[in-house]
Order: sequence, then structure tokens, then C-alpha cells
Amino acid sequence: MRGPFAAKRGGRVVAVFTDVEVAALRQVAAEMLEALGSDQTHDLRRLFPPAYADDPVRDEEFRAMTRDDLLEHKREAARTVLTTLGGFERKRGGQRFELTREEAEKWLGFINDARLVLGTKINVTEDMDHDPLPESDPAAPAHNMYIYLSALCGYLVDALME
Amino acid sequence: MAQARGAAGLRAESGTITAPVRTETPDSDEVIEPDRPWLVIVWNDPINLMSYVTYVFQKLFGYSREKAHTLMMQVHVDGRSIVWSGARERAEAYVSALHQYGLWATMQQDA
Repeated sequence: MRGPFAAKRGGRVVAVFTDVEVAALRQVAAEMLEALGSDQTHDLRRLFPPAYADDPVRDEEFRAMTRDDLLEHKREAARTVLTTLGGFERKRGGQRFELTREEAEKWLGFINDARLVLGTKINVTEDMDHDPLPESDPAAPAHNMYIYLSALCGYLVDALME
Repeated sequence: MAQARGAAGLRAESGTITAPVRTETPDSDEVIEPDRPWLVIVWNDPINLMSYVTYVFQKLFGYSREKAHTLMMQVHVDGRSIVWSGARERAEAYVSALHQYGLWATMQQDA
């Protein structure tokens, strides 16, 4: 069992997802793009950490210099996920996607960005329980999505390191 | 840092993944600044996966899997690790790249 990702020759990565997973990933990517285009800076603060922790003046200069690129980098990753999710091949029980190495790396960046935003929102700790919560729990949607994305992140790192 | 769960974590622990990810070669010998070098520091956080952090160190700095793993463990156990040192401009470029990867990276001049 290697999860939904498999490394192929030439650096390509094949992903197979169920329809439910595809719908969920589309939603997360669309929400990310929307958030990145809005003023929700508090929700996204983990995506923009300080560079000069002990020098506010230089830190502000650094932010001014890098923020647009950083923002565009994250947008591009989310856009790549949405675009590549459009090009699937129907497989029994799901959809099959073939990603170039570059696309797979953008997927990894996006999955991690989504974990950072969601993890900050639900206040993740190192010893957090990684078992899914029952659907009756109001915290379940965010918590379960976070652990799903965490598993996805681990699988994709493995595929990219093969 | 968090650990990858399930099969992903087991496979990473078994050490079967040995192929290094090629990018740039480390260039700490290019430091020409006469004054104190700048340190690029990565801080522990509860979200980034250990395997992801190792991957980023290999990919961005061109470090071997062993070196990347050692640095990742320093972050995990000690709470921080100096992952690169050298000229300020290059340090800024690395911090910017680490932020693109979502790592908690800062820089400061060596004391």
C-alpha cells in the first residue's frame, strides 16, 4: 500500500483518487485560491512567517520584497491542482491523473500550504490524535480533512523521493 | 514536527528511500563576506511532516539524504537547526525559498 501516488519513469507521478477525494481536493484548492485573493491575512498568517525575527525594520523590507512572489507561488500551486484535476482518465471506482514532476511538486506545495492553513486554524499540536473524529463532532470536518491531507503529504513525499 | 502516519511512515523509517534529490550543490565555500556570516535557521513546528522537511532540505540545498535527515532531527529534537550559513543575499534567497515550501525559517547574523 503506497497511497494514491505512484512514481513513474521520467519523474512522472500517477495519482488515483475516488470521486469523493477529487471533489474534496477541488474544494480545498478553490478555497485556498479565494483566501489568497482576499484580505484574510489572519487565517493565512502561517504561510507568511517572519524572516528577520529580531529585526522588525529588515523584516518589513523582506516582506515587501518577497510577498508578491510568495503569494503567486502559492496561487500557482493551487491553480495547478485545479487544472490537473480537470484532466483525468476514468478508472473503476475513481479517477486517474498523470502528473509531470513539476506538477507533482506543485501538488506537494499546495497540500502542505493547505495543511498549514488548516492546522493553524484548528490549532494543531505535536501530540494531536491522528484518528478521525466521528461526523457528529462539530470539529470533524476540519480535523478529518487535516489528517487526510497529512497522509496525502506523506505519500507524495515518498513518491517524489523514490 | 509531525510524523507521516501509516504505510508512508513505515516505509520512510525502513530506509528504503535512498535516491538523493538532485538540485543545486551546496555552496558554503562561496562565502566572500569578511564579516560574520548569516545563519539560516529552521524552527520546529507541529504541522510540517518530518519526511517533508527532509525532502525540502535535500531538494533546496542539494544535501545528501543523511545530512538532510540529521538537520531535520535537530529541528525536531532541539526546536531549531542552522541549515545554512553564508552571505546575506544568499541567506535571504534561501529563507524566501523555505517560506515558499512552508517551513518556518528565519535568518540572523552569527553572534
